[in-house]
Amino acid sequence: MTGDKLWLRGRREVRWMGIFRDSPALHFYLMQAVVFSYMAFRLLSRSYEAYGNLPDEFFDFPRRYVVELWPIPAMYFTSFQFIYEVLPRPAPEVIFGLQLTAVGACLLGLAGIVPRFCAVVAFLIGTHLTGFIQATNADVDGGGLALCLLLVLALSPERSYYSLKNGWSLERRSVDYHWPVFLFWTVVGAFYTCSGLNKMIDVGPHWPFVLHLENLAQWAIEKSLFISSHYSQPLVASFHLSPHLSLFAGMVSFIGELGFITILFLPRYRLFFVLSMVGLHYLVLNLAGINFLGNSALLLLCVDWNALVRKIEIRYDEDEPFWQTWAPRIKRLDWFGRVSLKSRTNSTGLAGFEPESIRGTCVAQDENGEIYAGIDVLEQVATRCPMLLLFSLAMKIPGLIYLIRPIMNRSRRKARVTKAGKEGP
Amino acid sequence: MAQLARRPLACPPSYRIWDYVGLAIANTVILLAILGFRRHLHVLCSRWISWLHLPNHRGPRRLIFAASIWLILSFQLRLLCGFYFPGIHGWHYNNLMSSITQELPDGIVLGESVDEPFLAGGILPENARYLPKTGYLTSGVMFLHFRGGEVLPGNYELTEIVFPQYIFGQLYEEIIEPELFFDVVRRSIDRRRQNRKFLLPLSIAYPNHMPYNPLPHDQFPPGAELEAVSLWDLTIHVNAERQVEVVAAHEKNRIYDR
Repeated sequence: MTGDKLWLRGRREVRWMGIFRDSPALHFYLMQAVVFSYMAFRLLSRSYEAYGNLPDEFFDFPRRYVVELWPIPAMYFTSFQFIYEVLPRPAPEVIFGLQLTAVGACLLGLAGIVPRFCAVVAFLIGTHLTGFIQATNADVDGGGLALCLLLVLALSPERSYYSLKNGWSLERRSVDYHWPVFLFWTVVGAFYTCSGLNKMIDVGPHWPFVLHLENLAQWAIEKSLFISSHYSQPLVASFHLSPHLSLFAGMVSFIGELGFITILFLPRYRLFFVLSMVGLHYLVLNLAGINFLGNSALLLLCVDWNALVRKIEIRYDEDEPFWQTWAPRIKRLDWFGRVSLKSRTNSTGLAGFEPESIRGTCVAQDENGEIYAGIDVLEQVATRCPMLLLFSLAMKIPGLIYLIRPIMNRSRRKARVTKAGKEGP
Repeated sequence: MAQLARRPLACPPSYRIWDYVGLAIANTVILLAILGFRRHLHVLCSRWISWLHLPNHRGPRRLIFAASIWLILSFQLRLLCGFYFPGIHGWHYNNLMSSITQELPDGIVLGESVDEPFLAGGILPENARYLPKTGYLTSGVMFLHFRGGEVLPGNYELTEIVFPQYIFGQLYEEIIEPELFFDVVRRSIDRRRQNRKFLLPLSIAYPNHMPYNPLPHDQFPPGAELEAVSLWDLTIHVNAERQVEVVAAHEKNRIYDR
């Protein structure tokens, strides 16, 4: 591969996350800890006992605005509601017991005690309880993504978990830590992208222009004066009375939802998509009084946490003033030993880059074999050095890197011209 | 299998014929795309199936393959699977209008029942400062009547049911299942008196999926003393100084526990 092609490869935006990559365990451990914590928190906060008081005729899957095409919804089977064809409906005390069992499973799973079995138990009970809600009004209660993650964990190998049996280690590498992350991201990406597609289908591609969030904000403030009304936060609503802000919010939400599936191959924009959806859920709670806020914890699992622990090897030009200053600093700031820094003249090439082609710049290759060049190398370094994390986050601002790259390129060309001038014709 | 008959909904659905027309148009577009790009799709599907049959990591490959098929089918067929559904439907607020009027609304009798001392508990006047305009507002309010004479504001948060209108009827118009309502509300009141929401303190508990405004839980008597629930239309006036005054209150319904 020529130098220019390598250079472009080092700066590309499209980087497929892969399915069967040897990956560190950190991300999977976080998925395990977050979902068990979140599910326990939900089940300890909400009582489903009221559904034990409802007569049988209320569980008849009334149609609502979730457009159902089938006379018998799939959830009749997938949430095991069909068992009540032969069994009596559970009393409130039984539902209380089910909730406590699920909470116990979540806490055991969080502690690493038979976590896979606990994921299965928590998933089955959580889905069944959700089935009560859906059977009485065919709606959701905001726990879908958590149940999906529990299902992913339940289908993951036992050896992937942190547990009393496996222990834990951030040094291990295995494909069994990676493909569950891929599966979870695919499910979350499909969910939000389908929501964006639903807006196009139900309303049209002009959805941001007819959203009129300012109407909802006005309504929310008016409703907030009455104690019996749905929750709304009038302070938040008062900032959204502008139709222009509604259009902006609608565009961000629309792009964020439609593009969410791209978290699988656009790593730089993951944080944008995640934060846009967190913002969406925050506004939906404070303006419309519908709570999906807990999904934010799961959305934060859609950024690449393993980047914090993946090792990276760098070749830099020691003649560059920038690297003369920053190479020793980076070595000091690399508290966890993730960054291997070598000057171009004191080492062989890296990932197809010959030492001469690294003049005036820097290149890097991480454990996944991903190549980075120029400012992208600094972004990867900053991801692994806690004191430089803000720089890494800043590079995730859409478009900012396109302003900074020309500056770095000018520096590289200048170094080449200077070298050519010194060496003569 | 028991008949899954649709009972008459207390609150009819709001979906429109356009929901189905929109879906039909989308499926037509997808069908045309499949026909137009069939060669590319054939190559893609062949690669996809070849990937499935690679010899390593067979179990996860099958799982991921099945999951991708299921994700596509659930969107296409609008499958509500309990733990997953094909995304929130499209919504907008183009037709949502402000309720504030400059004149007293028709049918409201100025001064009706305003002497009831408990009515002020049904409003949150501190939020009036955020209103961009002044005028009259009317909304439904619930009050809980206890044996000791206490009358306190309530709302459907006490039922702990998502979308309670599908069980108990149109919100703040009626309560269709009073015995059921009193059972669930009494249990909820007893927990909230102890500053609990189920098993966690109210201050840190995760809110319900459809939360309501906070109630004065510390003032609630025991749930066993709840004897009636009244439903009102409360009309308030907000003046230029953003002061709130109850100008009319119409009791629509009072339901007693049998």
